[in-house]
Amino acid sequence: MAGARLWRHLVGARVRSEWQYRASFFALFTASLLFSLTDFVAVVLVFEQVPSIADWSIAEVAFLYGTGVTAAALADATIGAVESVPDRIRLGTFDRLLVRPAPALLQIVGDDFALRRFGKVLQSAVILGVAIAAVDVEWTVARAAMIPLMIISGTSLFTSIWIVSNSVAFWFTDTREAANSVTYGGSYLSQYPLAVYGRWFRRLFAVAVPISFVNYLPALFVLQRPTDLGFAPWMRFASPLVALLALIVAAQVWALGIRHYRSTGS
Amino acid sequence: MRLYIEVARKSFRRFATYRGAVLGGVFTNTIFGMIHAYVLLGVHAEREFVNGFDASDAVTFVFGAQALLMVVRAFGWDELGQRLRTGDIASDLQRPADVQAWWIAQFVGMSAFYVIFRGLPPFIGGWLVFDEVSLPGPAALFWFVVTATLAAGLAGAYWFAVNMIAYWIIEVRGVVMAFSLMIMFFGGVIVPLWFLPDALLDAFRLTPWAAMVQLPGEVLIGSRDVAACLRVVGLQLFWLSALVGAGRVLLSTATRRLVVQGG
Repeated sequence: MAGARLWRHLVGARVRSEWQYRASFFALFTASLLFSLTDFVAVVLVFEQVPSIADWSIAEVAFLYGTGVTAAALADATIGAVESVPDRIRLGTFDRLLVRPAPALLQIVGDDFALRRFGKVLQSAVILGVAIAAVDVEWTVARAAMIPLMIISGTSLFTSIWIVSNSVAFWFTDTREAANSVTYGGSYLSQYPLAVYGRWFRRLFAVAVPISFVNYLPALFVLQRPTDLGFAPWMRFASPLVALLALIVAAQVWALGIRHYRSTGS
Repeated sequence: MRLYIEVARKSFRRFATYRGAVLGGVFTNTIFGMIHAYVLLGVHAEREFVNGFDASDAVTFVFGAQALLMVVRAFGWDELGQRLRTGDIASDLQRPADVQAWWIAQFVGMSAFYVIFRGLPPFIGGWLVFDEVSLPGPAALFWFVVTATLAAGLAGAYWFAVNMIAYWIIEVRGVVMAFSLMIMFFGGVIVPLWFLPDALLDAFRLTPWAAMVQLPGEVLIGSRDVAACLRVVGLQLFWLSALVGAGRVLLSTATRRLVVQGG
């Protein structure tokens, strides 16, 4: 409870400070919204040329885009600040967090909170809404309920991916760039049906980094598509469980990293 | 001139010290290139040509674009803007050197480093993974080097001018992001410009952003003859002089009423 209060306090301070540079705030909010929109423009342009990709229609790909990017953007907006960890460790400012009487992760996500990151959430949620209206599906309660469930588990999965990939910095220096490959790369990967990717690439980035559970597998259920690519049908419903496991792993890795942490000594 | 060459050399060496970042960046560029490539191969599985370009062109272009990303700093560059915000720019102004030439030289030195260490490895990675990636012939390679070099200079002039805006609005990140978006889209990074309808394609190919990534990329896949390559060079020189001019106007207006922050 004290944690939640501290978080609200820190976030409030950040929002007020962001609000000081108002023109810049709107520029950044709009730019981040447009930035992620261009990915969808690419989807539209691609479907101008072909009616389907790997047998998926534009509405179905838009559904993948909407669910995948909304989850990634929500994770980015809430936990994304953890990407400052590699720089904090390198610069030695991470020490400062450890001497304060509050969890380090909480301080980081409160300290670097940025309201403008929600531009992306707004944009992808709109696309998701349009996609839900456009897909050809016999809606049932179970299918409809799967959508919020996959957003929640997808957000948790991306949250874990953000934490684990940035925790690598506790053992190796200068890892911020590499972390982008699974955080932003994962978000990008989730926008298209997995069948387009090569087999080993799919195994590495969709299964080992569990992106397939973010949206592809539950989407197979929602969109009434057959389970393919060697996945078992029950996996379509496993996302919440996988997300929970991922969060536990992420918490462990983070705790291990903190314990392993030796200051730069400079 | 020797001074600016030295500035560029020092800048090259400065970026060479961040080895971990380079390694991580190469990995990330390669992964993004592969995702792009797989998606475009998905398109070409359905139809052979898009606007006259085939799967091999598309995949080669994708890795060429990934190679150019850091050279032109498509994701943005705000080093000068931050110095304007903090007031550190004061020490730049005291140097017995032209501020604009100094920063563009710095930028080009950095670009030279990036083309070798961040550009080449993802391209080779793509070539190893995808049969569709074709290595450029000697002529295409020559013109690519020429147009990529001009793209680096052009990007230096571009980002200098964009960063100068910080003089008036202080916090420049939003502006930098917006101008970065222009390169990402009109440069053909998000999707090759030939996916656009013809009328738009012809218009967009004339923009400075296309001159930074899309056109050198087209040169790399060998889709342009000598006359067309020369036209690209001409366009790049035009935008280079226009952007250097714009940067000069902004710089002289700014220095005439300079107030150093925190000063």
